[in-house]
Amino acid sequence: MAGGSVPVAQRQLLAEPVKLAVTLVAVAAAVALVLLLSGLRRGMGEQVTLYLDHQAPVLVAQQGARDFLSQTSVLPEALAGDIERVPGVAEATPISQEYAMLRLHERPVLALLIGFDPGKPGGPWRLASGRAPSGSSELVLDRVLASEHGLEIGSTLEYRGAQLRIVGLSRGTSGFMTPLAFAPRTTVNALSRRPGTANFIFVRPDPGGSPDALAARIDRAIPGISALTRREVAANDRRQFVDPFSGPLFAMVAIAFAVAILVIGLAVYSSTAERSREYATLKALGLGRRALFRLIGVQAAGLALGGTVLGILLALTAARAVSELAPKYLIAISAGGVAAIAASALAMALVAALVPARFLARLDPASAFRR
Amino acid sequence: MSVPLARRQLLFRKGRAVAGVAGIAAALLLVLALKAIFAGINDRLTAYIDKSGADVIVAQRGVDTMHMTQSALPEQTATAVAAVPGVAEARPILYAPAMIERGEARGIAYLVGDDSGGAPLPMATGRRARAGEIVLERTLAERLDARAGSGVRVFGRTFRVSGEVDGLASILNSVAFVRRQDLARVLESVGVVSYVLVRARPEIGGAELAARIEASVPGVTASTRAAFASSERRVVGDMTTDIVRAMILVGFVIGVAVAGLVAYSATLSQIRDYAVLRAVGLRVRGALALAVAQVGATVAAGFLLALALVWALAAILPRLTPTLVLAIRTADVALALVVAGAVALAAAAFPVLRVARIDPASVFRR
Amino acid sequence: MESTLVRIHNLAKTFGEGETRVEAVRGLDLDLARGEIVLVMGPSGSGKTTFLSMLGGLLRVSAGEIWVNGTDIAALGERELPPFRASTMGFIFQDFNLIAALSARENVEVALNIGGQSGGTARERARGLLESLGTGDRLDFPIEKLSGGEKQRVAIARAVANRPMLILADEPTANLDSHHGAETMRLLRTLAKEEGVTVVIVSHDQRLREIADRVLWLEDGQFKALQALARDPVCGMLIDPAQAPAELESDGETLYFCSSGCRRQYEEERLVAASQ
Repeated sequence: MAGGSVPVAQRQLLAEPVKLAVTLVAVAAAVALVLLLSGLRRGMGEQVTLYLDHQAPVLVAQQGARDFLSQTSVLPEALAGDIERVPGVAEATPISQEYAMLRLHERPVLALLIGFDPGKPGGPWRLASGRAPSGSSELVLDRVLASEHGLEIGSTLEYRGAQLRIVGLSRGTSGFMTPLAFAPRTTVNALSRRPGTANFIFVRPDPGGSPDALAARIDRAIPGISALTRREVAANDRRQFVDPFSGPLFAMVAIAFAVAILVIGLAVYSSTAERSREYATLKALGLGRRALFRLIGVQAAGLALGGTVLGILLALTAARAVSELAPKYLIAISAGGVAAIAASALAMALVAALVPARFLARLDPASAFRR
Repeated sequence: MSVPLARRQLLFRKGRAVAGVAGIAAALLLVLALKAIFAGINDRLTAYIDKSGADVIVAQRGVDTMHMTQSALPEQTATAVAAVPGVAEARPILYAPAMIERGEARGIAYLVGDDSGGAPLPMATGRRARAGEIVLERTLAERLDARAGSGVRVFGRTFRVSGEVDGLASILNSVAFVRRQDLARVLESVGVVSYVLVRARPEIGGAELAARIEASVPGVTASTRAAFASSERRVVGDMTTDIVRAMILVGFVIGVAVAGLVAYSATLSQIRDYAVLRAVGLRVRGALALAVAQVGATVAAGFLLALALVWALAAILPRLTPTLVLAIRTADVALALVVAGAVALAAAAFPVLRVARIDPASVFRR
Repeated sequence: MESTLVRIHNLAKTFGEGETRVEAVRGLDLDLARGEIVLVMGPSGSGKTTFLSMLGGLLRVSAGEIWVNGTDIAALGERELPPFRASTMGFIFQDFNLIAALSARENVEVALNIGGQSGGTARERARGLLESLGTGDRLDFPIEKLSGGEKQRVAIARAVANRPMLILADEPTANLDSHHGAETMRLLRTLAKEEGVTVVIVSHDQRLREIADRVLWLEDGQFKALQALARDPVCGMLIDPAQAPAELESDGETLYFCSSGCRRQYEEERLVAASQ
């Protein structure tokens, strides 16, 4: 039926507002779930490179190392001096880093502990309160992590047998799995019984210098190390961290889509089956096969699109709420993700429409006459 | 009632009944599958410790976990621990995450450097690692295509694969074994160990031995294997709590929506039947019971289907992703049952309200 | 224009196979003229609905031909039938079969859409039809708010919307009171006599005999010879003599009545006539 004709599909959908609402809610929940889960995964990836993103653009690591977080890298700290002698290097900063399993209130709490040299780069870039650590037993802790566990400036916590006192709370260092903590490098080294070492050495190029060129030059100049750009290390970290969750995420997304398709199919099918007399009548009146399928398709598409739009709004709202209420979680919903979901809405509708369409095709128009 | 009325009503529209059951099953599956995935991760998390044969694990003071944890003890600690009465064996290990590479393929594994190259874990193929050699977990070996005899690069050095172990990998990480001295050199940690794995003599219990070790050896924390494993699991548990709660909420919402949708259309199409039954003499209570029975049956069937599906997933998924292992726990099944019950209760509201309002005289209306 | 609209030849319909084989309709022959009103009666299960369904192109024939306005609809393909129905036929169903989600006007309009009209033209024609049937003030009402009589008028408006040549009505007066039933009969007669529409009615309702040009009796899948049927002289009802509830011998012929009441009335009237 051409435009300007009675919108039968629309009328059928709106004739039962409760059913319409329930269907849209279910589809929206499934869509929101998909967006939130993939956004969480993406956000985890972004959080993981939080520290790296604030450091110098070139990184020197133990030979063969290509990630910052996933693996161990140990270098003699004297290497920093050698690196600074390479032309084009403005500054080389040794850093120690380790996953720190803190014990707070009898529970293990994961943080990423950065050991830096006080006065040099590598420490907290923004403090909410207090100051950067200078003494050997001093610690700066992420503000959100601290408040979650009732810690404040002056609190002490025991870590690997040492008593560390919180002298500052950092801002913008929150993370779901890797909230940051900062202590003097000598402290961190002592705890690991690795004096005179660094895990990584960050290198700042001379102004205008290219990080890629500098990394290559350092690699050639100094044996037994790997020199990398921050950019590629960050990408590796993100991938290593996020890839393992692909399997579970895929399973959840598949289930969510199955639910959405099922719900739409159920809604359209039950409407069609319940109104089979009316559809038989329409067939008797001469409504052709294509027009009938279009009727079904429009209903399914309406539900799919409506539910998807609702779901997208729901996801965006939830992501915002989460960032306010639980800032350690970062849900990064990408425009690409939203576009993909919107496109899949139509696929959803198509699959959902199959069974009701088949039902309609087989519907005997003569049944309009039956009592 | 001798006629199974609820069942007949429910099955009259097979398509609707099936779709309702499937939708509820999918909603519950969200919860069950997620829980099973995390439980699977947890199981593998402690696999090494569980199979190591250790009764007590000695670590740096304040440390009672291995994953994402640093622990460092002077080598002499192992000797000191061995000297504690009741200790049958004290095995020092170095423990560090490492990237294992072969060609373009890479994978992370926790490297365990011990003095035996992998004992007492049973080897799946090959033999334990000697100096310069490495034992890989089977799934990582497959991913790197590194069978026995081939070389892999770790910390810029080449290690020869001497054999494979099984059952230690999760989606988060894998385990590999090398000789302690090899690892110590690479990590600039000669003279340092991470943990000491202690086997107790038969006459003493783990808890007592742990206390004794802590009392005798300074600067250490000694945990029983059970306590250590429990602490490890707690890390994953704490980290995933919020996600699990969110998933339960979503599963509940979707479950109620599907069950409600089915109950709604079922009730509407059966309104006349209910009116006729009421006219014939069925009490309101009886009519309500009929409506609720249908909702209950649908949700129950959905729950059973969800169980079957998660069981199937547990069988199929590891074939596709070998490290993705699902573990179905009774507690999690009970949780899903509770969610299902809540869904049934909420979804039954609509038909109950509608059926209670039916006027039996409406049978005579056109 | 040829005066015969419908030619049915050797029409048959069989359902099922083997033990469950049922011959619903057997070897029917029938011609229907333009503007003719034909009433098909018969016991339940005699095949009346099957016949109507085949005539309307809703049910495939097992054998035979049905020529409507020069087209053998029995030979039309699945894709050709719907547009043919839309342009040539109108249907009136026993339970009205209106679309609940649409208003009165939209129900008529949708038939026009199916017939190829859309937009303002369709809407206007729908309005005009409903107004001419006296339901102009109910145009935008949802169907469930209409009375039985109003629904029937909407159904009739829908049936005539695309100016059909043939109207097929299944028990058009069954769910109406006498007032609305009479009104429906009037409308059908006007359609036939003033617009030249052929009307085929399937019904048990005796009142419809009044407007029918022909009454056919369908029993066991075949049109029974009308001569074999008797008419009750009092109420005019058609009766199968073999199963007449009452009969009377009078002047050498047997009279058949629909009930002992009619026979008593006949005897009384005869007495009155005889005494004058």
